[in-house]
Amino acid sequence: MYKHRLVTIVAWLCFAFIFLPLILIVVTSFNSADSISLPLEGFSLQWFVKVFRSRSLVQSLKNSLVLALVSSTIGIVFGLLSSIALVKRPGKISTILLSIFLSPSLIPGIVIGYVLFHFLVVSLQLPLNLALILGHLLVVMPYSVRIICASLKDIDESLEEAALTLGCPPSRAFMKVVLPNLRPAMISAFMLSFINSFNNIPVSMYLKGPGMNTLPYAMMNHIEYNYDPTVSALSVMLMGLTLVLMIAMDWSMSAQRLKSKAAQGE
Amino acid sequence: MSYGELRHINVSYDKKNFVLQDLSLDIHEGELLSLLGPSGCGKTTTLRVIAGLIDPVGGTFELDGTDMTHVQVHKRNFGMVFQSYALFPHLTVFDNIAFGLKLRNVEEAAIRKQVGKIMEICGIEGFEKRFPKQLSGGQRQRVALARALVIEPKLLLLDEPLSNLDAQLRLQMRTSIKRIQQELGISSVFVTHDQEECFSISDQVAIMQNGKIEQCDSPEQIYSHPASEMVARFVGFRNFFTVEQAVGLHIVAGNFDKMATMMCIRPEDIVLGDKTFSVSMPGTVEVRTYLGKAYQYEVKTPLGMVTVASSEDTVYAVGATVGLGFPREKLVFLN
Repeated sequence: MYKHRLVTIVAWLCFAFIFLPLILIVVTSFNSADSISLPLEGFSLQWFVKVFRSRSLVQSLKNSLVLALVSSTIGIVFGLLSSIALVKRPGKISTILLSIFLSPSLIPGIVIGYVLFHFLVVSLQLPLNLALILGHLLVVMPYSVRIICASLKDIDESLEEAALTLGCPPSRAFMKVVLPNLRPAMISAFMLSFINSFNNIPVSMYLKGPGMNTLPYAMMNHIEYNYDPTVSALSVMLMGLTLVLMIAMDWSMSAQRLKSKAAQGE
Repeated sequence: MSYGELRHINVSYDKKNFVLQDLSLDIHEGELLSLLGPSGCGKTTTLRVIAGLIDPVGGTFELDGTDMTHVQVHKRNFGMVFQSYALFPHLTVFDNIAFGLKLRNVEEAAIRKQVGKIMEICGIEGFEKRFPKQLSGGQRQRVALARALVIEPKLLLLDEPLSNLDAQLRLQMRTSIKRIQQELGISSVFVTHDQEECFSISDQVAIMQNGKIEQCDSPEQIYSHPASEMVARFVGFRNFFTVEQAVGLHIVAGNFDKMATMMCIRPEDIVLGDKTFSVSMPGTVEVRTYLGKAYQYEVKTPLGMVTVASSEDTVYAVGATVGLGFPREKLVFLN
C-alpha cells in the first residue's frame, strides 16, 4: 500500500488534536492544584467530591437527564409514527414532508431557540418547562425520523403481507413482524437524540426558566467564576458514562448475533 | 365443477386502465395451476387477488362453493410463498414456521409436532434454531414453503418462488415443490415467467398477456396446439406465415380448418436438405449461428426469412442454396 511520511504525520497530528485535550482534562481532574494547570502537583479525588457538593451542578445534571430522557422518548414515538406515514405513502408530499421533518437539523439552534422563545413563551404564554421540552423535541426529531425511516425502507414490504396470509389480523401484523425489526434503529435513534438533547446549549439558553439550569449551561457558568478542575472531574464522569453507554449499546446489538452464532455452532 | 373459480375479475387502480380485464380462471382440486407470461402481464396481480391482497373492482372468486371475494386476507387460510420469501428476520426458523399455528392458539405440544412434521417433509430438519440470515437461498425457500404449508391451507399460492435461486438450485427446488405438492395433494397456484419451469411442474398452465388469459390448458396441449400467435411465440414457434401464402407455394393442400388464417412451425421441425431435396421450397442461407447441439440458419425463401434449426451432420455455409421441407403434422394452424 502507498504510504507517505507526510500522510502519517498529518494523521498523528489529527489524532493528537482530538485526544490531547481529552487526556489533559482527565489528568488535571486528578490533580490537587486548584486551577486547571500543569505541571501536576499531586493526586487527589477532591474535585470529584466537589462535583457532588455543588448543588447547582447536581441539580442541573438531574434537569438535563430528565429533559433528554423525556424529549428523546417523545421524539422516538413521534419519529416512529411519522416514519410509518412517510414510508407507507410514498409520493411528492412525503418527500416534501420528510425535508420539513429533517429541517430543524439544518437551521442554527440559536435561531430555533430565539424563534421558539417568541412563539411559545411570549405569544402563547406556555409554561417554561413545557416550552423547553417542545424545543428539545424539535432538536431531536430529525434524528429519529432519519434513522427510523431508513430502517423502515429496508424492511421487506411482504413481511406484513406474509403475516396476514398466515392469519394475523391487520391491526397486529405491524406490531408482530415489523416493529421487532425496527428495534436496533430505535435504540440508535434514542441514543443520538439523548446525546443531542443533553449537549444542547442554544435552544436551552432561550427556553430555560430563571433559576432552572441544564448541565452544559451550568458548567459554563461554573468556569466563568471558578477556574478549578471541578468541571474537569464532571467531564471525566460524563466521558465514562458515554463510554459505558456505547459499550452497552454495542453489546445489546451483538447479543442477537452471539445468540445466532451459538445456534449455528450446534 | 372446479374447486376454485375466478369469474369476470376486473382490477384497476385508477378506474381507467385495467390491470386485469374480465379474467376467468378455474383451479382444479389437488392440481398445480401455473400462471405464465411476460412481466407486467398481470400474473402476480391475479395471484394477489386470489390471496385477497388486492380487491378486484368487479367479479367473483369462489372456493369450494363458498364466495371468497370479500373475505379478508387473514381469514382465508391460504398459504403464500413470496418472491422474497418474506421470512421474519427476528424469529428463528421454528418460530417462523410456528407463526401461523400460534395465531390459531394451537397447543404447544401440537405445534412442535406439526412443525417437526412439515420440516421433515420440506427437508429442513435440524435448522430450528437458526435465523433466516444464516440460511442459504434454497433453505430459506424451504422454510417459506413449510411456513405456508403448516397451517394446512385450502390453497397454496407461490409467487415466482424460484426466481432468486441459481440455475442448479432452481431445478432441484422445482422438483421438491412438485413432490411436496403431490404428496400433500394441495391445490396450488404458481406464478412464473420461466416457460421450462412452468411446463415441467404444472398440471394446467394459463398463459397471460395484457391482463387477459390467452390460453389455459395442459402443458402438452399448449406446447403442441397453441391457440394464438402470442402463445405460439411464447412456446418456441418462430416461423409464421399466412395460410394464403402457404397455399400459394404449395406447402399445404386444401385439407385444413377453413377458419385458419395463420400457420406456424418451430425452427427444429423444418426439414433441411440440399437443393436436390424434393417436396421442398428453395432458399438461401443468410446467417448461420452455432447453438451447441444444432446449427441455426436464417434462410431467405419466397415466404420471407425462415428460421431453421438443424442438428444433422451436413453443415451449410452462408450463401448455400438449400431445400426446406414442412412436415404436415408439425404445422400448427391459428385462427
